[in-house]
Amino acid sequence: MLRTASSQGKPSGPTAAVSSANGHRGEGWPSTSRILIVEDDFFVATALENDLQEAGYEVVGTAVTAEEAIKMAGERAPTLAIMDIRLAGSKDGIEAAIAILSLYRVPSIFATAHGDVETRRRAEKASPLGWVNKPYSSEIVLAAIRSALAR
Amino acid sequence: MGQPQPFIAVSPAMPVGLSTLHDLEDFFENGVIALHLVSADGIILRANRAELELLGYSEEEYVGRPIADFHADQPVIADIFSRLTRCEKLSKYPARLVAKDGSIRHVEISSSVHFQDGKFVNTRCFTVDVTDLVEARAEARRKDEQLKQVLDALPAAVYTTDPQGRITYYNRAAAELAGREPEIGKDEWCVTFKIFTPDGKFLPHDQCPMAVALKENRPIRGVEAMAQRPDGSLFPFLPFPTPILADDGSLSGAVNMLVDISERKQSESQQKMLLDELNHRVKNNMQMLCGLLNTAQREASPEAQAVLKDASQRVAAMAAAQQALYTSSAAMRLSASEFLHAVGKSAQQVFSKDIQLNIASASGTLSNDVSMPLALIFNELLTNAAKHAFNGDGKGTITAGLKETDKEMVLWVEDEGVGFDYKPNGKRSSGLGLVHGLTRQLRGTFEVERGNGARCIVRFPMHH
Repeated sequence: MLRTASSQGKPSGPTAAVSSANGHRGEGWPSTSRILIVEDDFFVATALENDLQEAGYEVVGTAVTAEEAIKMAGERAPTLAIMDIRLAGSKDGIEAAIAILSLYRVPSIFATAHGDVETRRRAEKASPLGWVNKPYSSEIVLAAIRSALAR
Repeated sequence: MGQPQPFIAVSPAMPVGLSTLHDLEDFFENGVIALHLVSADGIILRANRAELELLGYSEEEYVGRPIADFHADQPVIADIFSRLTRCEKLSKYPARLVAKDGSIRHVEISSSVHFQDGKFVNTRCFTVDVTDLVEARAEARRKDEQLKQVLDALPAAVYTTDPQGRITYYNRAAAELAGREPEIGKDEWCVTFKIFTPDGKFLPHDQCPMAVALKENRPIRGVEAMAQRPDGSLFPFLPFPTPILADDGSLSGAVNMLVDISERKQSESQQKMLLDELNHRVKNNMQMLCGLLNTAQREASPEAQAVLKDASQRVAAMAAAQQALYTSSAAMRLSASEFLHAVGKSAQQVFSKDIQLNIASASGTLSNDVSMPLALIFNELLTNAAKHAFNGDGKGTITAGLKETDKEMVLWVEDEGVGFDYKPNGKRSSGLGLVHGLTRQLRGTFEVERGNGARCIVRFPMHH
């Protein structure tokens, strides 16, 4: 299982031509939306990436730290970031969201288990397009993305 | 008032010149120590300037009057006279005199009687004003009393000792906590009946934290102990012994506060019980999950069986790490050795019996956050080596280690196989995809070196 052929990468271009199994295309949101996942839990990130790709979005990358998120946002020009708040490293997701909004005009949806009042107050500066409470289902996170992109 | 009483009787035989007599008169009159002479019937015969200034009277107001009129305490002057009449010499006899302004002057009187031919002629009294000293002592006593009241009112057990460790004071809370009334000046080092170390070893009083603080002249902090009351009951406590230094820096004693930590201990013990219960349930749930996946394999297609088997083995690796974590002596930390043995043993269950696992070296500890992803990484590397490295005869040894270096932890798994070149293939669900993704989660790096076999190395920072 492990020693598989290893050189083929995933196509990374726009997924306009990718049809979602859920039939999301043509429902009024841009099918070419490029999403950056900022999540330090490998399994959560993998599940979210699978869900987004199946729904027809292009996942431009998965960052596990705030620094990585800011770098990827600059290099890969995502339409939107799904941002975890508690991240590995010294900076958290709120700091990353504020940075990518001010530097690259990339807005975020916060996906977190830490949605207390103080956290939300701090996060206001990042003008989030939505909040998703962890643990979340794929339907919830996709609905939040659709709602954000429609704004 | 007539002629002033000479303060010195000059004998005609004495070779004393007129000038010497004059000097002595001057010495009496102008000396800085207050002096007066009193007759046998208690009348002041003479008083010098210092005495008059001490009390604020003029000579006319003072000389010729009974000395008792100027004493605030009549029994005192009666006693003074009684002693002098019996030929006693008084030295620093404390008395209180009334000054002209009504204030009280504290004095010490040194006096003797001048007898001539066995007859009481007069007393010679030296009066030293000690008002400031007495008031300072009274103030110190008041402050001592205030401090004692404060300490008595404290809900914390407090006691003090002299430099030799003898108890000089204890408050009510100390007696109540100790379950006994200590003997002031007799009990030494501690107010408690018996002391033990936290692991139950008897600790003689002269080795208790207070004794160490006094003997080594330093405060002792962060030491827990257990005390026994005379009724046999035990309580854990934290002592705070602190030496007290005099103005000159010498040791004048020590103060100790004993904080009863029974409730904290109970709460910790309850918390540990709840945590153990939680861990036990998690372990059971993981075992159920393994069982569920194993059962599902029976009904599945060969491809699905392989996937379910891998999933079951991964859950088993996490369960092994989780169990090692909660049976670890240090809460929330797991030693590298415990980790490698627990997860290695779990992975080994699916190996061929001809494949040996050798744990070569282990140092450092892992946090809970790190141990779960690392258990999956280690499991994948072991499984990978067991499946692919020994294709020839299926026999061999896998060697693994986990070491803490200055800045990072390094996990390595080495086999004796043909080796392979690792390139990330983007397949996250594959074994090495899992290793790659979980290593990123740990903010680490993954590499494969070729040697006699393959040496897989995962490096990650220690602090998350």
